[in-house]
Order: sequence, then structure tokens, then C-alpha cells
Amino acid sequence: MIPRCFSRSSTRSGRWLATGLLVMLLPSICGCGAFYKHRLETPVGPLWTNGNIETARRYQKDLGWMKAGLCERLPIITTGVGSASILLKTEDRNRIIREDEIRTAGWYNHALSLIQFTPSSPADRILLQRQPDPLGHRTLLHELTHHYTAGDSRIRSKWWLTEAISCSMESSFLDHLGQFQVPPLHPLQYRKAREVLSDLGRARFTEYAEEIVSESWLGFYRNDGEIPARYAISWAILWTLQEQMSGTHETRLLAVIGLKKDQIVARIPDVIEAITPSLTTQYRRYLDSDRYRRWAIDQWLLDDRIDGRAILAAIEVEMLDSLASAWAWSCTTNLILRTRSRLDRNTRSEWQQRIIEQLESGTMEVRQAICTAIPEYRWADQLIPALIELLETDRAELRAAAAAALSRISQHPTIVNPAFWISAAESDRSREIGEWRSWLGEN
Amino acid sequence: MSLESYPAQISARPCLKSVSPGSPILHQKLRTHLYIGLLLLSVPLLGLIGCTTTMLRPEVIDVSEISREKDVKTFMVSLKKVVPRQQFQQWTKDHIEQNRLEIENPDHENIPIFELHYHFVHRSGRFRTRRIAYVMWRRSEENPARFEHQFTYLGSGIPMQFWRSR
Repeated sequence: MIPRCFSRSSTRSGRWLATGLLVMLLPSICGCGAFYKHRLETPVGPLWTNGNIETARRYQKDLGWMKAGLCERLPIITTGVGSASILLKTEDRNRIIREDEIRTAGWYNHALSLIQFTPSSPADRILLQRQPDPLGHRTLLHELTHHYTAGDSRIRSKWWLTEAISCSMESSFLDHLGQFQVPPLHPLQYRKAREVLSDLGRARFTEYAEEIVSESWLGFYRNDGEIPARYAISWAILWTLQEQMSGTHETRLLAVIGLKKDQIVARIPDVIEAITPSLTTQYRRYLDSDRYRRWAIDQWLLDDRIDGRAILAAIEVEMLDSLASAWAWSCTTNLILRTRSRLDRNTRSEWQQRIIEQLESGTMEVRQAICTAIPEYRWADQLIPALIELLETDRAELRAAAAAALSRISQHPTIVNPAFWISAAESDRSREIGEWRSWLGEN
Repeated sequence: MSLESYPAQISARPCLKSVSPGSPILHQKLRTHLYIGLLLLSVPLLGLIGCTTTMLRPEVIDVSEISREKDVKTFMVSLKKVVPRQQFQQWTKDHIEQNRLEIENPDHENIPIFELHYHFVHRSGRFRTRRIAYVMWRRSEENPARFEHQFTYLGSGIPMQFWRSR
């Protein structure tokens, strides 16, 4: 009986197991083509999506420089890493976002070499506009770093290190010369780590950091609302330890990977010392660096507390480089047209005049950059005539950017829809421009 | 789910019909079946009442328009009480349909509306009014005759001036 029962049950279990396995393996057998409409070849591997093909093409291009950059910075670790499949999720049109919610923007599965990520949505573009990721690269680069570093079992076995490495690489970017740059620090993680330090105090922070470096997978990723803190502290530990090492980026990283747990724990007081200076102090330090000056200007301008004079001086240094002009005028506009810039009235008026000159006679790229950068600012009436002139330019995108800029600085109602300024009949646009001119004459 | 289970409960009724009244046992059976039938009937009824309760529309005290542009409409919607989070999007969808905002711009003829912003505000007790939700719609690029829901944001931490998409 028992053997028969056993045999029957095992046969049944075997069948269930086989069916289960078949269901699990079905996607691999059929390929992602069974579930996704579009497949694009990328330097990393196939990219699959059911969403907008244009968005997918943008990421297809990005994957080229991302892979090249990671391989250039981490030549030893990335050697022999194979391809990965990338699943680009479609945007959820019925999305409900809760304040302070933590959502998973992407994940990586080492066993299947699978990356899944969600492109930045309109919500992200508004809610995260002050985060240092204007082009929405961060999630993809984070997951890609996991893929290229997961081959090293020493990294894979330490969850804090896995995430710290990805965090340290996720905000890398291509500079104006087309070179892959890893920022000297991660402002978001730095700020978060300081926040935790301030909340917990030195002693409790030390204990917490010790816990984090010992966490298992379940412990590290547990859904207790503290994941951002664990990421930030992990990043802070890696950042501090790497700064203490010498050599190339990878040499320093390998030196940290080689440290034992007690060696890392012994250096946690150094981490506290490293994150004690304010972010402002850090930015000021990088304004002097030729390599990171532009990065520091960009990042500091995202903050509420800025030193306008220091930033303006740094922008002037960058303006000497003709390649920087569109970027430099964009930053200047962002700096001059804002409150609490700590710039005196004369300096602001003088630079506002220079911005107007650029709108009138600068290159198309500079004009476009200024229009895009003009923020919501009540005291920029002087710019309105120059912007109205741009509504008549031959360049459609510039007309749309000028209209959007006018809507941000003026109370006069206008048409904001970029499609109108790009493709509406000239007579319709002329009517709208006529209204702007009449309004200007009356005011 | 309750609607899907409803036909299964109706199908129990033919059993009642098949029992012919006559003997006390049959009467007893009939009564039992009647109770069961009533019980079964009450389940979908309760379900329906439950669904109606959850599908209640937000009680709106006032809708005021604070639009600045010709093709971007911004509404402040004052609520009597806080409603389930799914209701904000539905309310705005109904508002768009009732006011025919997809095809008409009440303030500017021949200028189709590009974006719609809804700020839901609620005043609880003596506390000052606070925004509890924000819903954004934008004209679809693929189908310009329709609006697309961009997102619903629940919370009040982000000042209103940041809710600019341009």
C-alpha cells in the first residue's frame, strides 16, 4: 500500500512538478516575443517592450554608452560578462502615487540575466524634477551595474555592497566631451545618510551601519520603509572607504571588496566624519575642480540654499569654453531668475540684460536653452518682449519653448500646447502673437 | 465578484419550483428551501449595497476654476469628507464628460484644452483647508480627441506652484 500510494503520489507530484516547470520555462522556450510586441537589439542584449517604441529607441542608444562606460571604469570586474535581456515596462496610466511611497522602479535577476525597469513617467518628471536625473537614466544604469558586477561572487554575496556599487554608478553621465563620468558623490544618498545620522546620533548610527553590513537578503530588502536608509548608508560606507584607497576607480573598489567585515565595521567612524560636512561644503569644494565643476554647478542649482556668487563665478569660468555656451546660459538663467540666490540687485539686473541679449542675438541652441531654463519667476517682465519675438521664429521647437517660458513668467493667458506652436496654421499663431503684442502695448 | 456569483444563486431557485406543496414534510422542505433561498438572495443584495457604498461619489462642496492659461484648466475641488483614493480619478473623469471638456473649451472657443489639473481640498474640523489629492489629465498625442490620465497624487507635501508640467 505504502509503496503504491507513494508511487501514485510521487507520479502525481512528478506530473505537477513537470507542469510547473513547463509553465516556468515557457517564457524561456517561447522567448519574450510571446509577451512583448517590440524587440530592439542593443549592445547589452535584446530590449523588449509593449510601450512606446520611440522611448525604447532612446534607451537603446543610451545602453551603448552605459555599457562602454561601465566596462571602461571596471575592466576587470566586467570581463566575460554576457548579455542581458531588458524588459522595458509600459507606463501605468491609472497610476496613483501616495506621498512618501517607495516604489520599485526596476530590478535585476542574476539567474536569468534579466533587467526590468520602468521609464520615468510624467509623474516622475514633475515629482522628481529636482533630483539629479533629468534624462531618466538612473534606474537603467543602476540595474545594468548589477548585471556587470554580479559575476563577482564577493560582490554578490554582500547585499549592502551590491547596492552600494550600483548606487555609486547610477548617476554617471556623459560629459560635454562625450566621456563617461562617475560623479564624485551621490547627492541624494549623501543627503539621506546625513539625515539618518542626524536622526539616530553617532552611537545608534554606528550600530545601524554594523547591522546593514551583516544583513541577509531578506533583512536588507525587507519592506519596512527603511530601504532608502539602508541604500544610503551602504553607499556612504563604500564612498568613504573608496576615498581612503588609492589607484583607479576599479582598484579602489577591489580594495574595498577585499576588506573583511570587522575591518569595515572598524571604519564606520570614518563614514560619520565623511558625511558630516554639509552638501553645500562639498559642492563648493568641487567648484574648484576642472573635472567636476559643471557637475557641481548643475547639482547645486537643484538645491534651495545656494551661494549665487560662487556659482556665477564658476559659470563664468566655464563660459570661456565655447562648447559650454548653451549649458552655461541655461545655468545662468536658472541662477539669475530665482529668489534667494544671494546675488545683489545690480548683478541680477546686469545678467538679466545679458540673457535678453542672448535671446535676441544668441545662437538657436542658446536661445532654446534659455527658454527651457526660464523658471516660474514673477520679476522677469523685461524678458517678455524678446520671448514674444521668438514666437515668430522659423524653428518650431523654439516657438514652443518660448510660449512655455512666457506662460511661466507672465500672467497674460496664452496657449501652452506645444503642438499649437509647432504645427498650427501661421494665421492662428499670428492671431495669438497679435494678442501678446496688444497686451504688451497696454502694460 | 459578487455579480459573477449571482447567477449561481439564481440557479438554486429551480429547486424550489420543483418541490410540489402538499405533505407537511414537503411544507417543511419548502420552508427550509425558502429560508435558504432568502439567505442566498440576501448575499448578493448585501453585496450590491456594499458596492453602492464603495462606489459613492465624493461629496463635493464647491468646484472653483483658477485657470491661468487658455488651454490649461485648473480646478479646486472642495470635499465634504475624505473619499477612497480610487474615487478621485473617477470623479475627474465624470467631470470631464459632464462638461464635455474633451471637445469644448468653455472660456476660449476653438482652442482645445491641453491639460486639466484638479486639486482636491478638504477641511477637517477646525483645521485649515489642505490639499489631499491632485489629478492630472493631458490630451493624448496618439488620439488627440481624448484625454489621458497622467497620474493621481495623494498627499499635500508638494506646494501648488510645483504642479507645473511645462
